[in-house]
Amino acid sequence: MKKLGVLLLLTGLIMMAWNGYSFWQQTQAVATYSTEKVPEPYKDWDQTAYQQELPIAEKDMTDTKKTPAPEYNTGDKVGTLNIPLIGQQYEVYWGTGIDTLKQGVGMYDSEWTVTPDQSGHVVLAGHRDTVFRQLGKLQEGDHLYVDYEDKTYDYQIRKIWITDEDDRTVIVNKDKPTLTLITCYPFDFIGSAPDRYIVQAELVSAE
Amino acid sequence: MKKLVVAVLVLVTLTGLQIPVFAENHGEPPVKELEQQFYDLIYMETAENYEVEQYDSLDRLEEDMKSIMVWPLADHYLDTYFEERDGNVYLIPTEGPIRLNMDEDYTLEKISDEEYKLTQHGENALRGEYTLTITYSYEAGKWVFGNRMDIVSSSEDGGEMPDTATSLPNAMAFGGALMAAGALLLISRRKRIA
Repeated sequence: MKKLGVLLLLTGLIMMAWNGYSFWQQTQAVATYSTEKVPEPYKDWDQTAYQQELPIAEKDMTDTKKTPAPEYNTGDKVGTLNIPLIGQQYEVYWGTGIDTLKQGVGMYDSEWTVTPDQSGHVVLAGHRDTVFRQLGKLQEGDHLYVDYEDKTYDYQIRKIWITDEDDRTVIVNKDKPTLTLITCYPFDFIGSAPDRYIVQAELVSAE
Repeated sequence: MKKLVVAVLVLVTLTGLQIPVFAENHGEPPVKELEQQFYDLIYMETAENYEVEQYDSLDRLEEDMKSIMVWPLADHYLDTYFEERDGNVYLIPTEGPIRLNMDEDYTLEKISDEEYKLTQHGENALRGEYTLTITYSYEAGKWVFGNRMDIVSSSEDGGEMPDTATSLPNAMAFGGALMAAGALLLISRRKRIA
């Protein structure tokens, strides 16, 4: 009986330690900084008044249909996402499969979505408990910055909503340059959360 | 009591340290085997007039196609590459689908327990640079082609939501529960001795 008790104790300990370590490792894709020390390219992050989205003609953007899909391999690092309001910077990787999302934030690769340098829908997904823990603090008007291929894309949040995990109306074609963040909801739910938290923003500047 | 504890331990060991304990694991799709079965159906031997000798009717070919791929995909290949005239099946002479180069590297990404996505970059004289994409779906107890080069546009409007939940907190809680059970056992034993 004593042996069993010790065995249970040890098994439990190993499970906690192993999973705790994986958990910690996954949170490492997020860098934090104080809102007083927001990096230069993101200095207008607190301007939450409505800004007009960038007209497509003004941007140095190529037509989606003409450009071939980028030659990334799944799991390649493609850029960073910055959210000064919560003082966080995330590494962004190509793809949203199970292994990619363990690395950090994933950029959705599909027939409906594009990379930030193209006019269309950019979708980023992240784990609720390790990466996108503070997404609930964002509000309409806040800014999201994506650094991609030496350019900074400034998106302003237009809409935040919660939907079912089976909703197929979120990841769709968009004509306007749009950024969508997806994570699980409820945030404090233990286990496979049944809903998704959606943050949708439009491009207001690119430089 | 002892048996119960042993049973719990065996269960934990068998399912490994990963949770969810009860998720079904179908393994990876048999990429090469499926690929070969696909070519056997697409690149069939024909007579000089492109008559397919192996099949008398499109119905039988359709049946075989649908045993290795989802229906809309099978319909696409049947419509594109075959026709039936006077009770014979003919191959429509045209450029065949992009093949997977088995000697070159490819990435196989797990999308979910029921879906894997394969990508392979390649280049040839006919197509220039290209990216081959194949999706595998686990349907009715086996792996089949779910899509190839996005031929089947999904019946729904848009893409599937990524799986953004981790099971790590669950697994940690489960480990904690095991530790608590172990500690309880030890304490109760000590009390009995005292």
